[in-house]
Amino acid sequence: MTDLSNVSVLVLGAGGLGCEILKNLAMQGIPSIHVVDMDTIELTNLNRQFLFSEADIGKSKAHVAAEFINGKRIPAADGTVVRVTPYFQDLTLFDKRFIASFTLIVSGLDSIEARRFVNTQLVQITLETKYEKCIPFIDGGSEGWKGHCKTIIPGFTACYECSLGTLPSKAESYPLCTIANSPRLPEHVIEYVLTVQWPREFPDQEFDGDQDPHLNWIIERSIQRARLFGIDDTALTREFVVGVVKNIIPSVASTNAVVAAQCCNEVTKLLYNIYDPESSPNFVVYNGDDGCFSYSFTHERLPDCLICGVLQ
Amino acid sequence: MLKLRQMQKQKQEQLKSEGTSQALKHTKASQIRLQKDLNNVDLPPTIQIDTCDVARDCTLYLQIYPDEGFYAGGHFKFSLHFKDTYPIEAPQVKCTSKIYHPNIDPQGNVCLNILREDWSPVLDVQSIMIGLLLLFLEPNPNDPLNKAAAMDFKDSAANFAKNVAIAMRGGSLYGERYDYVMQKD
Repeated sequence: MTDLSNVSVLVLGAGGLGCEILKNLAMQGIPSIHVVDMDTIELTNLNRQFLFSEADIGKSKAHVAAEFINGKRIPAADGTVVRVTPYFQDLTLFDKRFIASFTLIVSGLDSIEARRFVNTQLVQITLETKYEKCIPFIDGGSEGWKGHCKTIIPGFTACYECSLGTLPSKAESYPLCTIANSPRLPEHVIEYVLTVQWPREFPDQEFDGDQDPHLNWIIERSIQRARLFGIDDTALTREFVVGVVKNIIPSVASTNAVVAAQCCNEVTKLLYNIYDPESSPNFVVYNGDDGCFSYSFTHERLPDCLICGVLQ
Repeated sequence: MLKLRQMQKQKQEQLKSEGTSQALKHTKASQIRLQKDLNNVDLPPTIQIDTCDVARDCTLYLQIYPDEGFYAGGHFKFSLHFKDTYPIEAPQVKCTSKIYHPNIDPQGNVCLNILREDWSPVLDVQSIMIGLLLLFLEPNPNDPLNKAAAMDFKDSAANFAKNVAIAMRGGSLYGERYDYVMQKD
């Protein structure tokens, strides 16, 4: 049996994925879990972020999550009790020595920049210590029905930077000529009203999607414009318009559960010596929007990667 | 994580046998990118790269000697310093020759759109060099750093050409003495 008494895992993010990851790790009896998140709890989080309740709105996600799990007094694999330590801060302010104190790092973040930061730090730790220290980084990500899990062994397997090419392209944007002259979709209409009509009408006022008068104006003008171009205006419901202007992709609780489970599988395999960095596939993709599709493969290191590559 | 620890040991021993005694020098992303840029540079005949030590100070020294326009015959030296933020941020470009030019002030600051507001990480050393060369072929008096030169250029191209010729030969204009740049170092 592997001795877990010195194992300490850092979880990045205590949101949709973070709650699932924390729960999984705690139930596995990881004795020391640390969690960092700079966000506070909002009402819309509660449907899937099950460590929080209505009374916690406005409080730090990291603190409430830690309190919840610590309160359960879950037995740890080394005979102690699972202990979660929260950090209510921006993780890019962590210094390298702190990051280097963990056995492995699991992330459930929504920010690419934060992941790149952690990845860079971890690769540097491996290189600077001449491979004496090597902290695996398991990165989970989810968007709507889709998700991924990347297992990164810094200095050995493809790092996050090597795999930037696997990221989906940014939020869809439409060419201005289309939205101005020949809109075909309700989205085109909203986009035009938002990016052209609003600044023309209110040059001194920034559009704020949380303000009802702003939103109503956009909806009203969008319907007018849709009629002008013979586009079906029944699609322009309030929910639809909000979704487009705020670029909202709904979070699906079950996707988070699947992705977080996969991440924690990788943790378990690493800790119990089942994972072979030389032969195990390091990337898993999951897509649940049409049946269930999942695929595991090995993403190779890029020889000219800006982070883990070597200067030729 | 036994398997991983074994791999680390192997790697450490391999490094030891290769005689890498000091810690692996981590190469910064900016350096890798700069090296890549340099490998891909396709120099026009009017530009010469003097030195660039990527591993040490990340500063590129180059000379531009335009073969036409107001500045034909001159040799203009530049230094390009690449910080760790490259290519997210443009390098700091200085003209180390003191010259009379609407877009370059006597202190050597260079006003070129792609080095400031129009910088983008897809631009590289090649695009900067072409941009600098363009400054000599087509000075832009509408966005001046050296106001006297810009006024000059706007008022009369012939007079400007004469003043440039004076300045390039080490003469003084409006109380500033300029460098002699008619010879290659």
